[in-house]
Amino acid sequence: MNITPELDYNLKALKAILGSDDIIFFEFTVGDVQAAAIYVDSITDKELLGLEVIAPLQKFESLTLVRNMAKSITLANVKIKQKINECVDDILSGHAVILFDGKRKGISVDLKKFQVRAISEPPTGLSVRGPRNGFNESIQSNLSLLRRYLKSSDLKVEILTAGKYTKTAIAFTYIEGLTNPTLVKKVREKLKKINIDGIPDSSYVSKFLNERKTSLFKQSGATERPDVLMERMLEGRVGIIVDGSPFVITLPYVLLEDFQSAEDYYVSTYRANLLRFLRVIAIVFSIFLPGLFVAAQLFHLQLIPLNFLLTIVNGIKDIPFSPSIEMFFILLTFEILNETSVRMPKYVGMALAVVGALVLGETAVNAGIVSTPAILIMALSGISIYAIPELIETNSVLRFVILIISGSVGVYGVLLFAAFLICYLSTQENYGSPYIAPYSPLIFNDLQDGLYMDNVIGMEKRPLTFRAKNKIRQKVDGK
Amino acid sequence: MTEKINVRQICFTFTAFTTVVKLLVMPAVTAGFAKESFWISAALNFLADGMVLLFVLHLNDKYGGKSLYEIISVNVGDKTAKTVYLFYGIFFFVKAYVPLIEQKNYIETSLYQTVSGLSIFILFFVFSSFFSYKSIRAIGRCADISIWLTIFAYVILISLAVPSAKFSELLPVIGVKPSEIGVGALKSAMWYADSSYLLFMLGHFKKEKHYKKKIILSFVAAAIAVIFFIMVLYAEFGPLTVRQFFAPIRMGKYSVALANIGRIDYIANFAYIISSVYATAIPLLFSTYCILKVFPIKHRIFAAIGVNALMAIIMITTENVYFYTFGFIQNYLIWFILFMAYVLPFLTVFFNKGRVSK
Repeated sequence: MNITPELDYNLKALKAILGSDDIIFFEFTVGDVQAAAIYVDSITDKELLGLEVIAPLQKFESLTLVRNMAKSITLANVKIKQKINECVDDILSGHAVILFDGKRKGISVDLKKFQVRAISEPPTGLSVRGPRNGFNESIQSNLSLLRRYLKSSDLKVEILTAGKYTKTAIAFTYIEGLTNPTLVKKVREKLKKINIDGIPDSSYVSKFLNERKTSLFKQSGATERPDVLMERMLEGRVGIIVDGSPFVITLPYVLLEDFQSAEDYYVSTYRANLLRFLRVIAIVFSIFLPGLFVAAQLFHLQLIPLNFLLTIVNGIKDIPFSPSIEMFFILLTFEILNETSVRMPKYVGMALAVVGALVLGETAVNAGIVSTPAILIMALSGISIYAIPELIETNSVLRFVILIISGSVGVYGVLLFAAFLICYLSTQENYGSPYIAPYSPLIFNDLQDGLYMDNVIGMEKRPLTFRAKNKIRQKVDGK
Repeated sequence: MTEKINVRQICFTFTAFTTVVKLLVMPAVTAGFAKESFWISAALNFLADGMVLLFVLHLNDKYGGKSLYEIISVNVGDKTAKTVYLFYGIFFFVKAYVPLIEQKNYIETSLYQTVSGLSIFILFFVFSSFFSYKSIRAIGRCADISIWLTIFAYVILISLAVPSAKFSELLPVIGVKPSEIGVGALKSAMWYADSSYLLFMLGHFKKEKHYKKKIILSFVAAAIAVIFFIMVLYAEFGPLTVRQFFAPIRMGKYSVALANIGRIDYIANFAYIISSVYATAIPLLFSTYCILKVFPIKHRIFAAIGVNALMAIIMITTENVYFYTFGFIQNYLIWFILFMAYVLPFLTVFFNKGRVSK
């Protein structure tokens, strides 16, 4: 629907579409002609509207060309609009639209003023050394952070919108000349196909981007750190920033990337390798330890060293449950405590700690319901799972599955499951990148930044896993 | 070429998978016939298998990367190709049987002393169905991981056994009649014939520089690893080797390290089991692959489940008569295995269509 020369008619049309109490229809005059500014009260900068938009317009003694009046507004992003629908979209995005009686055109001025959280250290991916800024919920802030790190004309940002009602802005970012064009095309097409009523968080977008919708395993990376996003983009990945979410999606995702921490690249190589080794051990413990402990008790006592076996026997002699039921009960309790501690108000946290540690833990042992070794094993597994917080969703489920398998058929079941996992994961690909690269298929170049990490200044080539267009990352020793 | 495998993965397949299936019962069985010279029997089998391997590599050059099916159908027609594939399907099925029974017994002996091994081992077929469904690509991808598991297990087991080995037990080098060495080789031939894997990988890999050398070297590495392993076993147990079924849990048992730091051999054992799970599933995968070529089965998964379910049923029904079925394979079906593995590939020399000019 086009804007008509009758201001009243236009305002009625807009009221009919936008009819809401927080939409302001501010009427004023330009010379002796009626005009109106339409905006959303909560998301528009009213001070700027008054000083930089309405005041200059009121200086005109009579109505002139809309184009000339627009030029008097000393703000960026001033556009001429001819259609009511376009005006509606702009108003809802934080623009103020100025309409004049007797004119078929209006002026749309970007006056967005959202309340945003300040840039602060992200709660995930903390590091002792390295930058302390993190993304927040504003797409503009996040893009500015990215631009601050990547001052290159090759950094391309494509803004799309998704969500029928939310009209959420999505910034698709990549480095031209470096990122594989096939990847860029594929992700762009997938983003354009998103058709949903609303997008509250970037995780919604990542679900649309998943190539296998029902897989237990993660299929897109996420980070709250601009330095990590920059590094990943320099390796040939693309970034997807979603308005309203501090988590930026990166693609393609490979399992190894969650074993790599930002800090690994800032500290000495020796320390980084030690940390990576510990992460691997922690994940193995977190997934397999409860299951193997149960299997050893039920089927394979010969696996347990004699002295430890005696300790276990002393610990479990009065326990009324089988080892698998006992461990299942402890694991269930742990997961409930974990879930509760995340959701409950912080001021009750202390009470929860007391209930969890003393009432449930110590009393359960004293009452002879669970054994001390089982609690010890569960505690070790429970702590270890947080070595890689990004993998908790998958690993907590795997831990349950392995506990059930080992409690039913013992270690051979666990080994078969491990073989199955290796086979399944090694044959998976994520946007053309093998899921467990560089180990299967073996990519020798990428082993430089695998579970073992080479010196940062020795990594001459980018990871071949992501098939970057430009493979050379740096010249080693000036060669 | 959707089911891709690369040359490195073929090499790893030979080194990682063909090694592990030969370590359980084969050394004891061969030692029963050829005593301290049993390693020569093993070497003879590797030699025969290696000759076929060389010929298959020659075939790849000659037919410019065509699959076996394409080579046969171009020369003698589609129906003959399907018939040959049907027989190869049966060949791989038979080839899978003994290692599977061995592995079941090994699991039972090493991990479950009080529970029926078969009821637990039957889960293997769930995995194997999935593996067969994933086809040739899965072999290569799993080989990339398994090579490290195999090397880890091998190094630990050998390290535990070598201190108590007396290599003089292997002397004299040829201490038995050549005929006994020959019989030892024949009676253990069912564990070999791995070159037939490469035959079915034809058309699924791209040639690269020195690819023939790499594949041959990996095969030689596997041969050396197996021969050295059985030599160490004999050096440790001497004439008692004939009773050392399931060598991986026997050979490190008397190491001082186990008394000091616990049963670390079990860690190697776990790595060994994961590798051998793939190794024993490979013939079933190739059997499925052949069946799919012969019969117009729309969904690959049905063929995979069918082949594996049949093997599971056979294992359940023959569990109590294993020694008879083993004897039947060792004495009669071995000729079928030898024909399919060592004779049939050479019949392609009579083909003259489809060759690639140099």
